[in-house]
Amino acid sequence: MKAYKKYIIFLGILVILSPLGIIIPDYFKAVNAWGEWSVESVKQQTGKEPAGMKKDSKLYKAPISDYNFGKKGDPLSKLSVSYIISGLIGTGVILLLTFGITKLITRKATE
Amino acid sequence: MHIPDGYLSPQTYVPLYAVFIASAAVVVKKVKAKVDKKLVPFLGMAAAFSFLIMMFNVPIPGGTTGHAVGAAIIALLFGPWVAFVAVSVAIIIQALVFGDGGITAIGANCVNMALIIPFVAWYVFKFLVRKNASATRLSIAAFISGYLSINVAAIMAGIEFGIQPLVASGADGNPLYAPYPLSIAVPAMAVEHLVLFGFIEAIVTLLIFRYFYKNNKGIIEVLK
Repeated sequence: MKAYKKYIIFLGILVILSPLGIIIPDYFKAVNAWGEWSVESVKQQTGKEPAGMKKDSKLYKAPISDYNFGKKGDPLSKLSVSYIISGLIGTGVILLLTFGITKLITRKATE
Repeated sequence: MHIPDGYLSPQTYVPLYAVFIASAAVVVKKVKAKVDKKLVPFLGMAAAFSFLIMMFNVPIPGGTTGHAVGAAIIALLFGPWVAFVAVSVAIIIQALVFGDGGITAIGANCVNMALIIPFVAWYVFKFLVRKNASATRLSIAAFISGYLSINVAAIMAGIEFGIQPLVASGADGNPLYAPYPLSIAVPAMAVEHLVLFGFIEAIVTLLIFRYFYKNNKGIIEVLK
């Protein structure tokens, strides 16, 4: 674990700095990534609601949608807290998952 | 770019899922054959790194946002198959837990970001570098690998979008999924990555490459 301390610290720094990923775009009035619009936004852009998109966009509701525990219009400070917690949760889940996957694969390899 | 649900028709996302699953099968076979125990902790940290770096949205003022993927540097450091696993894990968690990217699009997003970027980055680097290359040449190669690989992935995503009106339109001629044709989707994706996001990926690739080159050269897979 000690050898990896500096990498863990690096990941921790990324988590803490992650709100820059929503603060800076907000400052520059940048919106969604291209092609990541809502169905309503597509209707605004093209005047039509693609039928397949309308159906499939409702397919799945993620537990922490858009890294936000609150609502879309919440103040940036609140969104930032959600963002950091999401970063922590994501990192934690990923570390557990990859640890589990590699344990499984390496155990099968030595059988 | 994380393609959401509803942008790709089944005619598109099913084959891409097949490619993703086939690639996963290849990885499992490769790992079973040769497992480097030292690599194991790095896989998790690499996946976490990719996940976190994708949270750093970079704006085009008044326009859209994008982000680095980190897949290029993971490929250069640990090989393209390790990168495939690491970035795929990040993408799957993003989709399942945070709704960043669709469930139907997991195959597509993984092919674009976890398969294309690592392999393009790896082979571009190998092409640019000979044995005993100078640190400067290696750095330039890392930069270009990052830049080109994400651009190829972006163009692929643009193509996946742009063919939707062709492959999936209703009887009335209206697109059922992503509404913009190739002539709009490909330039939109290509230009923003050529002009800005490609450089973000390139810089991330370069900086982390240089760190490992200075501090832990022996681990860098692409130099072996």
